Amino acid sequence: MTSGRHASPTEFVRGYLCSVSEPGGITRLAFTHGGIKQFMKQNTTAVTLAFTTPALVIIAIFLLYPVLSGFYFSLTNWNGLDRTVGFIGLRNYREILGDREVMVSLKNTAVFTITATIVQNFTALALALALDRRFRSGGLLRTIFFIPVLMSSIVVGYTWSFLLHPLFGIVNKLLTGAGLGFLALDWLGNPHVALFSVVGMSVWRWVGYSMVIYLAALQAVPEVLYESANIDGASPLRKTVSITLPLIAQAFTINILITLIGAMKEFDIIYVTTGGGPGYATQTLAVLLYNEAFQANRMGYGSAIAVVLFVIILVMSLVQLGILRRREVSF
Amino acid sequence: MRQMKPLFLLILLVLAPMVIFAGGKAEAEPAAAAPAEEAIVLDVYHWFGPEMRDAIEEINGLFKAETGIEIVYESAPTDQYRNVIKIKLASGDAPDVFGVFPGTEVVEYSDAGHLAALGGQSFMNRVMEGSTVVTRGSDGEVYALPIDQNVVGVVYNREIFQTVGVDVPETWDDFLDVCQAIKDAGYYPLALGNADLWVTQLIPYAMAPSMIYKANPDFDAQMYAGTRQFNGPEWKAVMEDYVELNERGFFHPGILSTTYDQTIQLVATEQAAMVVNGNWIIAGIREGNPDLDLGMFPFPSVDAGETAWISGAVGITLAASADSDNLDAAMQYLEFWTRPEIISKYLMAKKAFSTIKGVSVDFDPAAGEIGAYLAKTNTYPFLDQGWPTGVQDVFLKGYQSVFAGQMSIEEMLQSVDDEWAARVAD
Repeated sequence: MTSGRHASPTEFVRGYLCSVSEPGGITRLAFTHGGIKQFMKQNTTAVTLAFTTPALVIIAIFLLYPVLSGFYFSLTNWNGLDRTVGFIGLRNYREILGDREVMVSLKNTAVFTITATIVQNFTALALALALDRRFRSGGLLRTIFFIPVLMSSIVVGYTWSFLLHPLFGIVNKLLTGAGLGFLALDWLGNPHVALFSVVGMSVWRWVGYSMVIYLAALQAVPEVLYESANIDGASPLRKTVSITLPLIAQAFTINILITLIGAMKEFDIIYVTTGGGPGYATQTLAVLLYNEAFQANRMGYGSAIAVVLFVIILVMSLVQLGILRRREVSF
Repeated sequence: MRQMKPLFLLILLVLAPMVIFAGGKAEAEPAAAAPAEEAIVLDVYHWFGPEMRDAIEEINGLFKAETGIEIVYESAPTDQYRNVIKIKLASGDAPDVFGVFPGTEVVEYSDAGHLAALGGQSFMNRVMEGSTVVTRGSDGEVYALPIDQNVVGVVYNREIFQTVGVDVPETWDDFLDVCQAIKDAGYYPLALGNADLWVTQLIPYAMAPSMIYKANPDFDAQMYAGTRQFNGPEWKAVMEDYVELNERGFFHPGILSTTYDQTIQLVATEQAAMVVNGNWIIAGIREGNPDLDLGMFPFPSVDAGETAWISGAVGITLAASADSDNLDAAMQYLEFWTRPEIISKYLMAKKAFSTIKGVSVDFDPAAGEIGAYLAKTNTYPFLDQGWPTGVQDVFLKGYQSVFAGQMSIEEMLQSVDDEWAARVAD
C-alpha cells in the first residue's frame, strides 16, 4: 500500500490492516498519511478547485449560460428563429408594464401561489401530526401520501382532467349520486373554479413532500419536553402551541419557501390541464412566458417576462426567509 | 501490482466494446455489399400523427429501394413539433426535410433563410397551382411542397339523422332546425372540444368563408390596409351565430373542458350526432367505431338560394432545409412524393384530398359526400394562413373567454384588433 488514494472506507481499513501486519508497516502508514494531510493543508485552494471544478463547469454550461443569455435576450426583439437579433434596450420591460395580459397573469400567479402555499402546508401539517401518532397502518399511509410526488405532472394532469370532466368523469357522478349535484361543477371549464381545481391538483401532487419534512421535524422533538409538560399538567393544545409548533419552525421555513417558489414557477400541471384557459382564467406568468416565447414567436418578450418572474421570486423568497428565520428557536 | 488491477480492468472495459464493435463493423460492411460511396441518410422530421407511421414508413422503404437513400423519420405532436423545429432551426440543427405550417410560417421561415427554394424543380409542375398560394415566401417563390388538402365541415351520423327524420341542412335556419330536432330526440346535436385551443376556431373557420369572404374576398387585404376591423359587423355576425348554438343548448355540457379526443368519443359512441372539424376527424371516429354510417357536408352559413363556400386548405407540406448537406437527395425525396402512386398511398392513409393534379383518392364515403360539394363550389383557406403570427393565439383565447363569459363579443374582437395592430407594427 503505497498510494494514498483510497477508493472506499472498506479498502482503507483493509489497507490499514495490511500495512500494520507488514514489517515496518506502521512507519510507512504514518508516512503516507502525513503526506496527504500535509498536501491537503498546504494546497487547500487547489484541492477545493479540484473538487468543485467539474460541478462548476456543468452548472456554468447548463444553468449559468442559459440564464445569462435569457437576461440578454430580454433586451432584444429576437423571434426565436432569425439569425439576427435586434437590441432594443428596455422596450420589452416598458411593454410589460402596459400589458393587460401580464397583469391578469400576475394576479392569477398570486392567487395560485397563496392558495397553494396555505392549503398545502395546512394539509401536510395535519397529515404529519396524524401520522406522528404511530398507529398500525402509519407506514403504509405515509407511502400512499408520498406516491403522487413520484408521478409525472403530465400523468397527474391528464388523470385529474379525466376524473373531473363533467360528462366522462367520475367525480361529478359520485357527487350527483351522493345528492350533492349542486357541487357537480365544470371543474376545469368554469373560469371561476378552474384556477382552484388546478391548485387542488398541484397540492394533491406535492402534499406528501411537505408532509415528510414536517414528519421528520416532529419526530426530532425531544420526548422529555412533553414528559415535563405532562408533569406541569399542560393540555394537549398547550403542548402543541408551546412545544411542537415552535420546535418545528425550521420545517415551516423550508416548506413554505419550497411551496412558494414551486407554486410561482408551476407550469406543467396548468399547461396539461387547461393550457391557461378557459380564456385567461388560469394563465400564470410561467404559462404566459411560454406562450409568448414559443407560440407567438416572441422570444425576447418571453425572456423579459421570465426575468420579471425571477425577480419576483427572488424578492419574495428573501423577505420570507428573513421573517421566518427570526421566529425559529433552537433546542 | 494490487493497485494496478482496477486500472487494468477499467482499460479492458473501455477497450472491449471498441474491439467488439470494430469487429462487427468490419464484418457488416461487406455484407451490405457494393455501394462504394458512403450511403446517404436523410433526416425527416414532421408532425404526422402515429396513425400515419405505417404509410410513411412504407413510402420511405420504397424510396430507399429505388435510390438507396436511407430515411431517418421522426415525428412529434403538433404543438411540440412547432417548438422543437424552431429550436432545431435556430441552433443550426435542421433536419434535411421537414414540415412547415402553410401560410405565415412559410413566409417567416423562408425570410429567415431556413428553406430551400423549390421553384426551379420540374416536379412542381405536377402540383395544383392554387395549393401553392400558401407555401410561398414574401418574394413569391415556392418554398414548400403541399401534399394534401383538408376541408372543415360538418361530420354527421347518417343513422341518427334518419332516426330523427331530418335531412342535410342547406341554410343556416335549416341547420338550427336540424339541431333542435336532434336535441329533442335526446342526442347532443354537436360535439365541441373547446378545451383544445385549436378546436375553438373551427366553427368560425367554417362560417367565415360564406359569411365574409364570399361577399368580400379582399377582407384580409383591407385589414392590413387598416380600413377594416374584426370588431365590425362581419365578425360580430359570425360570433353571434357561434354563441347562439351554445345558448340554444346545441352543444353538450362542459365544452370548455372537453378535448378533441373526447369529441371523437362522443360521436363514435353515438351520443353526439355531429361535429364540426376537419376531414381528418373521420379516421379517428372510424377507429373508435368502424360501423358508423358517416357523412360530411359544408357548414351552411347561408340563406336559401345561396351556395356555401367551403373552408378548405393545404394541411401538410414538406420543405427542404437550405442548410442540408444532402440537398440533391432531399429534392429527390420531394419528387418521389409527387408521383401519383406514392401520394395516393399517403392520401389513403391520411384520408385527405390531393394537391397533385389528376390524383383523386376515394378514401372514405363521408369524404366523397363533401367532395361532391367541392366540385361545384369555392373554397377559402383556413383563416389564420393570411394573418400575422400571434393574431390567431389571441383569437383562440378570445373564443374561450367568450364561452366562459369572461369577455363580450365586442371586447374579444377588439383584443384581436389590438394584437393585429401591434403585430403589423413590429
